[in-house]
Amino acid sequence: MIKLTVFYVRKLIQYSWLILMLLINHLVVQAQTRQDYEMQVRDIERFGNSYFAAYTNLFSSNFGFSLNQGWQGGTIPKKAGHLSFSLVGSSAIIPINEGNRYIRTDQLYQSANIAAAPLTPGMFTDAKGGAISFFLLDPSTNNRLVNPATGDYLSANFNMIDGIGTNVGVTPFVMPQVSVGLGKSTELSLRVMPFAVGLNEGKVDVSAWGGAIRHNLSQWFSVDEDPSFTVNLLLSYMRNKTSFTPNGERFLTFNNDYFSTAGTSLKLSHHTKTQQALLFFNYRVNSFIELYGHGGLVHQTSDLGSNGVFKLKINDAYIRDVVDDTSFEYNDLFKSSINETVAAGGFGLLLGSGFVKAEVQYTYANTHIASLALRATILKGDD
Amino acid sequence: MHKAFTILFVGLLFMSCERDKVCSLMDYIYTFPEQTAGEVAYRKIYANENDFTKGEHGIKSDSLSENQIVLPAGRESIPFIDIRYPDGTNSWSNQAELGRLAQKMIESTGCKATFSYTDYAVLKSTINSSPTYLHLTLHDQDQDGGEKMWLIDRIYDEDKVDVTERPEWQCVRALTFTFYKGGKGARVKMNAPTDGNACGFFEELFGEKSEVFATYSLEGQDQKELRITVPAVSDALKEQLTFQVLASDYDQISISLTNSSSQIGYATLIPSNHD
Repeated sequence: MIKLTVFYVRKLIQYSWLILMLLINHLVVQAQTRQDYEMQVRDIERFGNSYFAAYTNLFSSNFGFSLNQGWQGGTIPKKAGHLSFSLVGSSAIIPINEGNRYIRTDQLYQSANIAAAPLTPGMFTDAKGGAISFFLLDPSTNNRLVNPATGDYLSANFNMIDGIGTNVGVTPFVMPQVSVGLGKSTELSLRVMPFAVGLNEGKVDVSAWGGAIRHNLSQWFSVDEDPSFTVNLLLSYMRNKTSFTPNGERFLTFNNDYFSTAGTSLKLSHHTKTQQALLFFNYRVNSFIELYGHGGLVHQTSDLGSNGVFKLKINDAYIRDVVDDTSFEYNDLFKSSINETVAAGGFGLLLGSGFVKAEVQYTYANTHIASLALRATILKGDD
Repeated sequence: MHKAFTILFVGLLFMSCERDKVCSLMDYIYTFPEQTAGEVAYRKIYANENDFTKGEHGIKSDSLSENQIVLPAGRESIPFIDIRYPDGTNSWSNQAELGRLAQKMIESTGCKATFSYTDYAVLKSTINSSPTYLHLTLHDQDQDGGEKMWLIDRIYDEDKVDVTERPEWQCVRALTFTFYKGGKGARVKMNAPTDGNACGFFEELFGEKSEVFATYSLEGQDQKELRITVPAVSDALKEQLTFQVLASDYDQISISLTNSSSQIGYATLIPSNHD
């Protein structure tokens, strides 16, 4: 009995390497194959990344710049305690031309399992999104798979995002602003904006805040108590967070006999931070009209990403021989970033005196930016 | 003056409304090098893969501008280019590469997008799909699209002895293949013997059914390996569904295959409507 047991133990040890190799081989094959299918899902992600970056490019590369405009030019109140309230509206005005009206899909990430219409609209055009098909491929042959019973490709067909139809690139916002005089012709301004709007079946949540400080430089070089010409330095910082769900609840969901995206809940998110340094050259025409020109540098960091989870389940009837788990789940599906420093310059006009003033401003910073502000002085400050 | 402003306003309004409406349909204008007109045997563009497969609604160049094809395209259009040379070489399996090769110019006010192929040598080297794609699916070079059913006519062993009537080859011999027009990954329909005697490894493929769909492609450097791809099948069956194409023509295709006893045979396939 003992001899027999020893014999079996020896045999077991002798062949254990073979059993181990078979097990490892089995596991490796399975892991590789799941990885192969996962790579196909990753290809959607990479395509999506390149597509969303292209779709939102005009918005994401300009919104931060426009958000950091509309700061007041003109004479700075000398007195500490001067308090004013403003409503500032600003928007980039981006010309739509042949170069940015459509996205050429051959310039996006390419993959054998994705077929897309050659052209699809950019964000601000009035065209409808082009067709796109995602095919499941056999990892070993890289050929499309079909449903053996019907001959249908194991595919998901949907349309890319429609343009929002403005036909001109705009990044509009209206924001309240409070400005406080600190004395010595120095003023601190703060802005805050929390709101949500519905847009093209989707929803946009925008929140932004920031501030600026401006100081009269020319006072140190002039003895004139009330000069017509002044030079101000403005340093400003703005940041914002925008969440956008394109095409409503249908965004990146495709459910058919072969795929299910149940549980997917995705939003595109966009964050910007901008820092700016500008010099304002102001000329007071009379007590009612003031003109100015301004110029400097503005830096923007713009991050496009996604919030939520993307879930994809492949009908296991078609890949069950090689994959145990046919569910794939991704957080932070998309991510792209733009860092840019550009020269900014423009001019403005201030109208009014006393309690209420209106200001229009034009700035070129990467694109055209127009701003309009209404200002009411609440307190004149200490003498 | 007031009237002039009114006319201007209405005009601008009309223009903006017009711009909203246009370009739901665009003209995709494909321009080809001059040499192609003289050298190609067939040149049509289809608005989508389905039309390309069936050979329906194909657009060819008109007599006035023979190097240009104008395809009316909607948002659903993913165009397919069908170019065939007299030797049967074609563009079928290289659509993505063809798409990337074109220089594009958009003129959205006129709702036009131009796709220009300027380098003939590069274009020709991209149009390199095997003539076997045509042979498998069409009856001649001018047929626009469709499918073609093939029967196994004769089977020979490695010594070139005719083994067609031998019992071990009967179930294989009863298989039929219907290839649909398309490039890499096009559909193929396989039919098993109707008496329920699907043989050996093909039982895994057919189960209770007598007909299954799969996809096919021609692989390898010389595109001589005919691979039929079915989801969720064993490696053994995948191997059995890979054939070497020895020769092909519209009326006959020779392939190597194996039976359930792993014997290698050489089969000649003929179209089902063959005399």
